[in-house]
Amino acid sequence: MMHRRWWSDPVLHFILIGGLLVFVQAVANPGASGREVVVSRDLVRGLRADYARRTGAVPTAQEEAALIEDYIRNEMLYREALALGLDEGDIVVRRRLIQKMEFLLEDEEPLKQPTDADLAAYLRAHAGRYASPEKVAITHVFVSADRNPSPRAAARALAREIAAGRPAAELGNPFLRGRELPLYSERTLASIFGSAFAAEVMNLPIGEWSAPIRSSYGYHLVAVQNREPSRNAKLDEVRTRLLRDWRAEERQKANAKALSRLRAAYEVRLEKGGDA
Amino acid sequence: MSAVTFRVWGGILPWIATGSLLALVAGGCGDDDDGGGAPVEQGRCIDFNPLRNVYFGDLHVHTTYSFDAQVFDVSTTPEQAYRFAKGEELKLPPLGSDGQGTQTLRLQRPLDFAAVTDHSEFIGEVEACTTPGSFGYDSESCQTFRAGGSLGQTVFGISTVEESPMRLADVCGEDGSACRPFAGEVWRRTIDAANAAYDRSENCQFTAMIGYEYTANTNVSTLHRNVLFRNDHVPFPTSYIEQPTPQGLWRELEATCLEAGIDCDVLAIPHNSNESNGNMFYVEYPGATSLDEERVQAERRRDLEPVMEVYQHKGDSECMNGLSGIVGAPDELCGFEKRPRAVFEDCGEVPGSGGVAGGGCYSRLDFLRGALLAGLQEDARLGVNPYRLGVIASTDTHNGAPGSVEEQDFIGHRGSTDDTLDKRLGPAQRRSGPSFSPGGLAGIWAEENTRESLFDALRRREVFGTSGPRIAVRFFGGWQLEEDLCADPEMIAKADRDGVPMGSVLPQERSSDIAPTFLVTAMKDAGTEARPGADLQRLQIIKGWITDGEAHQQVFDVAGDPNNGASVDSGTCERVGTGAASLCSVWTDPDFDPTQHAFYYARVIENPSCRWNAYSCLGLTGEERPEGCDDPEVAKTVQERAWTSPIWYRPG
Repeated sequence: MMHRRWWSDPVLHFILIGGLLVFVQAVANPGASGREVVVSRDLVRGLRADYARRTGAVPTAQEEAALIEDYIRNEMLYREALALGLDEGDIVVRRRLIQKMEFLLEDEEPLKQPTDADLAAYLRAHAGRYASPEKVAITHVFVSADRNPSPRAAARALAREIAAGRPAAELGNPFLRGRELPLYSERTLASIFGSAFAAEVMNLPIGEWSAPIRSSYGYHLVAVQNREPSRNAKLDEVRTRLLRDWRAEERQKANAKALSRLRAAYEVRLEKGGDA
Repeated sequence: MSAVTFRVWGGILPWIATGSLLALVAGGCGDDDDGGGAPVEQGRCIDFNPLRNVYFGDLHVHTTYSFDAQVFDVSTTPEQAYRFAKGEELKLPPLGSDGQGTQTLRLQRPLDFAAVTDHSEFIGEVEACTTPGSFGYDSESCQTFRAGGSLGQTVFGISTVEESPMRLADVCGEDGSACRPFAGEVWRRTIDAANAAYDRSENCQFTAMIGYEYTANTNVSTLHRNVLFRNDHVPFPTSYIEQPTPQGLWRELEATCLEAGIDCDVLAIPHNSNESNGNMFYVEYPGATSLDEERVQAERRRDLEPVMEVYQHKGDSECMNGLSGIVGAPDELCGFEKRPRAVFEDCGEVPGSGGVAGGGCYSRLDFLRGALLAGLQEDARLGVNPYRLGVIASTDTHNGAPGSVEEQDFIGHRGSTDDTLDKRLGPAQRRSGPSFSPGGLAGIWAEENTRESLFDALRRREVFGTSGPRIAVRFFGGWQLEEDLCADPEMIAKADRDGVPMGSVLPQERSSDIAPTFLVTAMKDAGTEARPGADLQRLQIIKGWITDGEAHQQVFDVAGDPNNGASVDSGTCERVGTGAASLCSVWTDPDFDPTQHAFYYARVIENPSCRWNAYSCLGLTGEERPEGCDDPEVAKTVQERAWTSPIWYRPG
């Protein structure tokens, strides 16, 4: 167990950052609460350089006056906005700060290296996530709906020819994605042929030619050559993914812990009544 | 403030992201497995196919690390973007009171691959400006950036149009170095996210590639490139700020990747040439004083930029009618997804400016066809074709939503700029409006779904683009392709044996009285049960050639029927009539002249279907119905399509 040091306490960080922001604001905007806008020579030089950088030209006296006027206007509006507390209510600023703080919290709790036993337990608990789906490898004879006026009847006729002993490889129309497909899951087959076709093919027996099956492109006679049943993964096959997912989950737990510690330092008062 | 560990990488040392270095940068948490320098096995995937499978994906994706996404409330991380590509849900603006997105998006069908390509220019600045306590956090620039919107974007974006861009001193320090560690940290997270999403099992379900966008807006014209790597041995990104010319980008990619001895390989994909005012493919060889020096530059460009993006959410870059410099009848299908400008002006031979802001002139060189023709002219003059360009399409999403290309699901492409229908259909603006569209997909014919196999297919240009649907199209050319291939069950094996695939140059032929023959064949998108894909209307071959220095084009219908009577009712989005589920043709060039440089590419055209705005307006009445729903200037239907990479002929 590593001993936690006082300076790595996230609560402390939160307070420090808050303090820092207030401090920096005070330094950067002296008199921000007051009604004085100082146009220093440095400032004017900066405005001039900025103008040159944007336009490639030195500002004329008139343009420079406009730049300064612009600065004064923006400065006033900015201070008024701060005085009204607009920065606090801005959800965008709020969201960014929250995101940052979450990052900081993440780096607080060092994660331990998982043992094989940890990973095996994790795998057992989430077996479904790592299981490989059932897959089939098929050979098919394609009858194109575009090249045959009655493709279903044509497919039936081809089925009779195959039954009579004609080699299937000589039959049918070419299919752009191939005649013999390797082990594919139902999802992959659906992306090639359409979902109704894929569902039907998954249920075919091995080694027999099917009756014509309809796809998005026509009719197919299908023979399943090989079937790999759905199976749970072994530790070594998915070690990489396991490690990542295990870490992600541990990370989440650690973050939750850090958050609950933070929560302990706050008093949360839930007001009753009304949902307005 | 020491909680986040940064490591500063000084100088020009390439920033190599092998597994072990990553672990160092990550503070020693011991990442393990990313295959570092391990040899790559070919054929590790169960669907390895020497005749190549087709894979669909998106190679142009921005996340919250892009300055012009973050300022519009986009908080999607690369990790979330890859998860979305694999089928998970994503929350997008408008933000609710809890700061979370209120729109939910999910892909109907996961992608096979994707690459997150954030703008490399300001990844450090974005991080610095959102990290309280950083050197620049309280600077005026950072405050303006955090305030968001177009102003926030301009703070940084303005540098990309400057000739001598500089990092903002108030954010990054006088010498710009204060942003570098932040950039390193963001780049590390980008690589980590890709490595985590990449399926290295034998199932090869998903490939995450590593890349970034190089964002040059010289002359206020789009000269953008996506830089894409073959593996995770990658240098620190090159940006416009350090290398403000494309020539500088190419030199640095050579120095930090190709010639760095770190097993790195890279290519760059030009895109949005439609907004480049003739600049993207303007023929020039800066600094060259002899033909030989011009050849060296032309070869470098040809080798580093083998592919362009022909379509994405900012419109089509294939072709446009009415521009000077190309002889031939107008192509009726070139009106597809154009972004209108206030004034139509032809650049002629002199490049213009203003395309980034939606202005300036149009040039034939803004489009694939003009660039291919200029390439032929250069090949005739130099013996080298600098624009031997294959094609892909992608989205350019700034929501971190790769592959979200379905017209029915379009909820905008860039955070708060177009997160309501009113904004999407309001008056056209630079960053939103009715001329934007969901963008397209990249199709890749590769042996297997791995980084190396996909990259190699891009390099040999065996790739195509679609305007969204997953249309599969193959295109082969040769001197002895059999005429009855379309009926031959061994079609692809024979075409591959007797010819060359899309992206290739026809081999030299001795006999001068033979014309080349092409096989083009396409399958419609099967779609899903709820949304079946549209039928195909026709296949076309587009030929471009040079006679006496003059550029010519001609479009041939080679299969299907342009008058098949199919249409769509834009009031209900019901498709009427049918087309073909698949089409095929073996075509011989009837006017072949062996003395002329030529290219041929194929285009697959679907029957008409509803454009996104017609879907979005369905059922809206009265107050709910934006005026844009009934604007006659906004197209309500579209003919989705696919474009293949060309096949070239060079006289012997």
